[in-house]
Amino acid sequence: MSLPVCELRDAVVRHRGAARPALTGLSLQLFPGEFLAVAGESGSGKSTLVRALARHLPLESGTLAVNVERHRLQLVFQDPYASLDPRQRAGAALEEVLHVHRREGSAAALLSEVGLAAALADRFPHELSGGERQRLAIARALALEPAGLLLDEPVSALDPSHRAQVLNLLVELRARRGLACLLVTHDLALVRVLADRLAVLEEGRLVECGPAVELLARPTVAATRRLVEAAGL
Amino acid sequence: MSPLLEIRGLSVSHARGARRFLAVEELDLVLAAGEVLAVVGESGCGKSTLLASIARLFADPRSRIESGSIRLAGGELVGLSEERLRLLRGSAIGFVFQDAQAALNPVLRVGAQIEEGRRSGSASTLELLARVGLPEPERVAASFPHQLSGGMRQRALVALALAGRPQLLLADEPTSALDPVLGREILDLLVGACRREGMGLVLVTHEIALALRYAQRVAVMYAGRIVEIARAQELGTHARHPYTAALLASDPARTPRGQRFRAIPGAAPAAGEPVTGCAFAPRCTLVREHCRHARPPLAGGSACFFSEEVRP
Repeated sequence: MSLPVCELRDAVVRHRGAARPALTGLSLQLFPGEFLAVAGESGSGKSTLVRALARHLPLESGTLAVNVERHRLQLVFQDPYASLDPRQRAGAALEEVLHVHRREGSAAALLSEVGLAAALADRFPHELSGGERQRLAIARALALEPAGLLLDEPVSALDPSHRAQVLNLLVELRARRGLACLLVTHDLALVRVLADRLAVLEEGRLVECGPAVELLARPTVAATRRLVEAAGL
Repeated sequence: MSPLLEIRGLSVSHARGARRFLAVEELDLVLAAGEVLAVVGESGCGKSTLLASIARLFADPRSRIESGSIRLAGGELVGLSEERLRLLRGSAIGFVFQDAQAALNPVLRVGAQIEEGRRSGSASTLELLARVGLPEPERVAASFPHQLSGGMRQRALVALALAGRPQLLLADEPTSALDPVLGREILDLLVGACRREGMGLVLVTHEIALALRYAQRVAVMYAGRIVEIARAQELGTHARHPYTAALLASDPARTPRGQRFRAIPGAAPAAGEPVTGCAFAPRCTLVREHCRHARPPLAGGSACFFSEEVRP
């Protein structure tokens, strides 16, 4: 089996001042080219996991191995403003990332790759729709030629139609670029359509992990069953 | 018997700079006591504006009702003074919004807020908190909103809405900030309370699957108008407007594994953009020349000239 893009082993993460760790003894690997979904109820540690993988949060114990250059593991947030400068036009934002990291490529090509019209290069983030903004955030991540995307609920604030467009884009990028995608979502209906593997968190622990189709059909723990039921599957 | 809520010919405008545009146009809607009606559509379709206009709680104070009538239990709300409306809010009309943090008073303990909204004959504050599934009602009552988790705050907000024993409950995306397990519990609570107390509930959501699961009737809005209204079961299986069919197809739960998610091509007309003919025509798969010039009226539950040709 190929080397994982990134891997947590027995990771414990504690938020400052918290009595209980947010992640407890968590081990998880993201393999090249796979679509891994991470689900769990609010407070189960999904976002903490993503932040730990992106080295935005330190581990109290355990290890994190990232087997690609650091900038080749990119984070995409639910709120695209988290990675976009509101005062910078779409095209300029992409040019800047390309320039700073001395990358080949052009803003126009990136916009086209995420399905945004060339004319949108002159728009500010607030002049884009929610779905367009999220695609711009993904284009920005693509500028760094990532091997993996860590996506923290990238579609949960979007309308059904924009949600569909962004998810289709992720599926295309994975096929075209061989990207590994770790998608945090609490919507198991999406997981059923596109994920290879599903990891379910509960209170900071990984309670179930395996092929998505199997887990959805036969959940073995209550946390997964509740999510399956809520998704109306 | 007159309906609980009766909206006729309602038009509502928003201001942008010096210009005004209609966010809700010539809208009719009727709700019976004890009925759960969902209003669905994409952002900007006017569903939240419609809900806000009922109690005149607009996000932007420059928004206003241009024409039409809104009757609650026979009494006209349009033209009512702000003072009279204030008396109705929280008593005859209850609210549950998406953002419980913003809806609760941050400097008042939860128990005191509910006590304040309670009407004679209502359950006690602790009983109300227990009824919405809060395990330690005493502790919650003594807490400030920021000391509670998101889910607990949303439950407290439901308790607050029920405290006034309203006849009509208005819920604007009450669960879209919550995970689906919690969201489902909150909606079970709201719908259960409506059944028990004979309240009417208008539920605004962008998730058509949620609307179909919880509402008896569903109204689909597009560009400020209702384009289809039907019993939930009927709408879910036999959509009679192409936009409804497209919304249903975009539901991930209806997407087969390994297939592309179905997006609706194009975008809704921007706010204030003039529309001739059917507003959905530029995105419609059934469009004919006629649709681009004539506006289809809402007739027999569907505002489409070719509703017989709509396929799921």
